[in-house]
Amino acid sequence: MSEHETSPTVLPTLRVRSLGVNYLTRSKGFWSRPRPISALEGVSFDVRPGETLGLVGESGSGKTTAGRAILRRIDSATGQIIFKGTDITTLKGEKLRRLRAGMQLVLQDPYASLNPRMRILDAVAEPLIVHGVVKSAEAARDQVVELLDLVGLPADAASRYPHAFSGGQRQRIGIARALALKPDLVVADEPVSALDVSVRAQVVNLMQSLQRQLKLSYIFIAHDLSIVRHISHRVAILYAGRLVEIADRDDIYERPRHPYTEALLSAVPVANPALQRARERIACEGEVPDIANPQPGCRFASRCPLATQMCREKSPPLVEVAPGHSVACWHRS
Amino acid sequence: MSAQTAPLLEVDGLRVDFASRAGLVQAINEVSLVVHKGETLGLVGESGSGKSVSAQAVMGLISPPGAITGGDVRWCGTSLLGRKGERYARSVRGKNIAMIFQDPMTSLNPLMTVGDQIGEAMRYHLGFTHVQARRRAEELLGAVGLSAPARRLDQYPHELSGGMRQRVMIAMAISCEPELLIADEPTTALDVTIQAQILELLARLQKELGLAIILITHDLGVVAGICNRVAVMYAGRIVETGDVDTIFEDPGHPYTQGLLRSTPSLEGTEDTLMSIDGIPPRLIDPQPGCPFLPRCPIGVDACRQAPPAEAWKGSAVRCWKAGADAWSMGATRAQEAGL
Amino acid sequence: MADRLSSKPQTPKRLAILGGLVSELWHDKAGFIGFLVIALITAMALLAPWIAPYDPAAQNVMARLQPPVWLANGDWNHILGTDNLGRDVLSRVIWGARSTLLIGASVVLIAGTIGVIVGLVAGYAGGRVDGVLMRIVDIQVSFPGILMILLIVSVLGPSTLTMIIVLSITNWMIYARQVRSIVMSVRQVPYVEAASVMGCRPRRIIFRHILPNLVTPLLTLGILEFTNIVLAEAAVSFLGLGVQPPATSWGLDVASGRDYIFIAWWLITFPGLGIVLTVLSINLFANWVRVTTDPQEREKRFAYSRAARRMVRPAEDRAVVR
Repeated sequence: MSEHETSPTVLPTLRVRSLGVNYLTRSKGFWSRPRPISALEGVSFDVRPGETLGLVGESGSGKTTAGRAILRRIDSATGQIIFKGTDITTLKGEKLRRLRAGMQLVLQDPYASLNPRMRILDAVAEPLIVHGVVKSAEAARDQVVELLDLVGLPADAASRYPHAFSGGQRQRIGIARALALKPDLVVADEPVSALDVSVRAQVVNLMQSLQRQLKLSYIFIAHDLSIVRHISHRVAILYAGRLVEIADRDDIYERPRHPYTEALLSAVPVANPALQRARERIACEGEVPDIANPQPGCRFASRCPLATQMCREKSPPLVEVAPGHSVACWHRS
Repeated sequence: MSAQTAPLLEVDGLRVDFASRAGLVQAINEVSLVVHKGETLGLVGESGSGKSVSAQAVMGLISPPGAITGGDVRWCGTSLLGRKGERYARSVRGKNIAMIFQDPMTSLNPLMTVGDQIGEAMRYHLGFTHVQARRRAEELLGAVGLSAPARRLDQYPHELSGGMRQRVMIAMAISCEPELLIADEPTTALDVTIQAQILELLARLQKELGLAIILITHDLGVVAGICNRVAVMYAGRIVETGDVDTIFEDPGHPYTQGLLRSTPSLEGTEDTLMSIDGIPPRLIDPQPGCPFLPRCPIGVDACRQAPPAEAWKGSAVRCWKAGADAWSMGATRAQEAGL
Repeated sequence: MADRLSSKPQTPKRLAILGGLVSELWHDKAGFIGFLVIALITAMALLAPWIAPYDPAAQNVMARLQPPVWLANGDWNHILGTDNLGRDVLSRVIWGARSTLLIGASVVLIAGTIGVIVGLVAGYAGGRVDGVLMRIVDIQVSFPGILMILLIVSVLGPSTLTMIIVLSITNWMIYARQVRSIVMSVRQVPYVEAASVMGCRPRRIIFRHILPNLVTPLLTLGILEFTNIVLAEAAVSFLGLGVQPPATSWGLDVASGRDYIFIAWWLITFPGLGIVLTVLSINLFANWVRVTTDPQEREKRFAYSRAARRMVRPAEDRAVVR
C-alpha cells in the first residue's frame, strides 16, 4: 500500500504491513490434517500519534481478528507489525509482556470486562502492579483516583465493586484501566456498541478529549459507520478478511469508491424520516461469503452490482486513487 | 390512520411489576398505546425503558416473578386479561397477533427442520394437514425472500445465517395471516446491510398483507425509515407519542430532544457529539414525578409531580414544559463548563 | 483518610450479610433441617469423649445383645442396646461418627486439592499438557476402584490413614474434570482477556481472575462428594478392608452386625441410620448452598417464594374496575 504522508518526519505509532491471520479448523474426517482458514489477508495501514483509525466491517470481516493480532493476542501468519519503530511481530515472553504497557485494549461488553470480585481500585491498579510501578493497590490509590477523575468518576468509586455501576460508567472504568500505564495506542473493540444512545455519546466524547490531552492513538473497531465518523481521522473498511478501502474520514463518507463502502453507507438508517424515505438503498443482496470456503477473485463479487468476469477470477489489489485514498476494486481504481 | 375505525389493539394504563430480592421493580407503569389496522408503530427506548416488557405483556409472556398489576389490554375492543380474557387471548395470540424476536437462533427450535417449524402453527391454528402446511411453508419462504425455498424446508436452523433465520422467523410469524406483528428488536443482532434487507422485507409485507406492525427498537434511524407513528419510552413510561415526522422535527419532550441530538448522523461533521448527562433511574421504588427530572436541563419544582399528557403539535407529551427547547440552554451551560 | 472511612462500616455490613443468610436458610425448611442435622452430628463427633456413656470398645459379657430401652428386657443403662460382645451401641454410634466424618473431610480436602491443581493446569495450559493429564484422568476413571483399593490396602495394611489415602486416590478425577471445564470457559471471559493484554503473568491470571470463579461450584461439589466418601468408607469397612477394630466406624458396625440381623436388628439399624441421616441432610444442605451461591438461581427461588407472590398480585385480585 502506498503511504499517505502528510508529515513525513513523524514516526507512525503503529505500522502494519500485509498482515495475515489464519485459523486452523479440522475438516470432516478424523484423520484429516487441520486446514488453515485465512481470516485476515494482506492488511496494511499506519496509525500516527494522536490519530484515530476507524476499523469498520460487518461480522466475519476480520476487524476483531486484526485488533487482536496487533495486540499480539493471536499470532499472525504473514506480515509485519511495527510499534514505535520496533518490529513486534515475533516478540515472545517477558519482552512481549513489557510491550503490553504501550498498547492497551478497551473491550465491548462493559458487564463482562471487569472482574466482578475486584474493587475498582484493584482493577484500575492492576496494570500498575503487574508492571512493577507500585507494590500494592493501596499504594496506587492516588494514581487511581487521578485516573478515575480523568474519566469523570468520583474518588469514592475506587472502593466499590463493578455491580454498583451502570454500563456507561463501567466503560469509563475500563478506559481508566487501559490508560493507567500511559499507553501510546489503545485498541477499542466496539467500545460503545453495547451502550445506550444517550450514554454512547458521553463515552465517545470522553475518548476524544482524552486523546487530545494524552496524545493517544486509537484503533476504533466498529460495525457502525455513523459513530465512526465522529471519532476517526482515517477509516479502513474490511470485508471478509480483506481491506477494501482506506482513506481520510471525509473522503470515505463523501467520496466512497468501493461498491461495498457505498452499500454500507446507504444501509445505515438515518434518523430523519423524510430523508430516510427518500434515500435509495444501493442493492447489496445476499450474505457475506463463507471464509472457510474462499472463492477466487474479489470477495465482494457475489453481492456486487458491478461485478464482471474479471472480479470473479482475480482479486483486485489495493491501489491509491487519490492522495491517502486507496481502494481494492477493478472498476473503481 | 383515521381515528374513526376501531383500533386493533388498545393498551390502557398498563402496569407490570417484577418482584426481586432488592424490592419491587416497576417495569412499566401507565403505558397506553393504540394500534390501528395497517399502521406501523415504533416503540423506542433505551435498555430498561420497558419497551420489551410492554410487548411481552400484550403477548401474555409475563411470568413470575412478574405480573400485570394494573390496566388493560384489548384486542378489537375485548379484554385479553382476567379469567375470561385468557381464553379469548389464546385464540388471538399466535393467530391474530404474531411476534418476532431479536435473536432468531434462540427462538427457533434447533432440533426441528425449518419446514416443520413454520408448519406447526398452521396445523394448530388453521387445522392444516401436514402436506398442506408444507406447501404453504414453501410459499412463505419464497415470500420472505429466501432463495431455493423447497430446499430450505428440510434444513435445520444452524445451517442458516442470521439474516436467513430472521426471514424464517418472519415466515413463521405471518403463516397464520396475523393482523398485527410485534417485532422486538428484529435487526439488532444483524449486520447493517442485512438489517436494511430485513427492514425492506417488513415494509413490503406490510403493504402486501395490510399488516399492522409494532416495531420495538433503540435505533431512531430504523424508526425513521418505516414507522408511521412513534411512542418514546423512558424508565417504564411513555413520555411522548405522535406522528413520526412531528416527533423527529418537533420533539416535545426533553428526553426525545436529547435522544435525537445524541444520535450520530452520517452527515454530521461536528467533532463532539451531544450527550445526555447522567444515567437512567433505577426502577426499584421509583420516585414520584417525572422520571427524567434528574437528567433534565429544564426541570422545575413542578416536575416532582407526575406530569399530565400535554398536547404539542399533534403529539401527546408527558412533560410540564412540553415543547420547550430543553437543550439550547443546557448546551451553553456545558460549553461554559469547558466541555 | 478515605481508607479509614471505607473500612469502618465493614464489620456491621458483614454481620448484616450473615444475618441475611441465616434468615434465608431459615426460610428454606429442607435446607435448614439438613444444616441442623449436620451440625448435630458434627458436634456429636467432636464431643464424643464427653457425651458417650461408655468406652466404645469396652466389652461386657454379662450384657450381650441387650435390646434398646423401649423393648422388653431393655434398660436405661444401654439406651440403644448392646452388641454381641456387650459393647454399648449408642457409644459406638457416637464414636463411629468421628472416624466417618474425619475420613470424609480429609478425603474431600486431599482429593479436591489434587483435582483442582490438575484441572487448573490442564485447563489453562491446554494443548498437549491438557491431553496428557486428561488421558490420565480417563484411565483412572475406567480403572475399577475396588481393585485399586484392594491393591493399596494389601501393600499398606488396613487402617484409617490407609482409608484416607485410598479414597483420595480414587476420587480426585471428578474435581479435575469440573475445574478444567470451568477454566476453559472462564478463559474466554473478557476480563480474563483484558488481564492478559495488560501484561499479567499466567500465575496472577489463574489466582486472581480464574480461581475465584471456582469457589462456589467446588463448594457444592465438595459437599456432595462428602456423601459419596461416607458411603464408600462404609462399603470398604463393611468388606473388612477399612477401619479396623478396636477403632470403630458406622460401616464397620453395619458389617459386624450383619450376622445378628435376625436376632438383634438394632446392631445394624442405628449405624445404618447414621449413614442415611448424614447423607440425606448433606444433600439437602448442598442444594441450598448451590442455589444461594448462584445469583440467578437465588433470584429464581425468591420469585417462586410466597414473599414475591405477595408483592405482585395480578390486577383481578385487587378487584380493579375496568
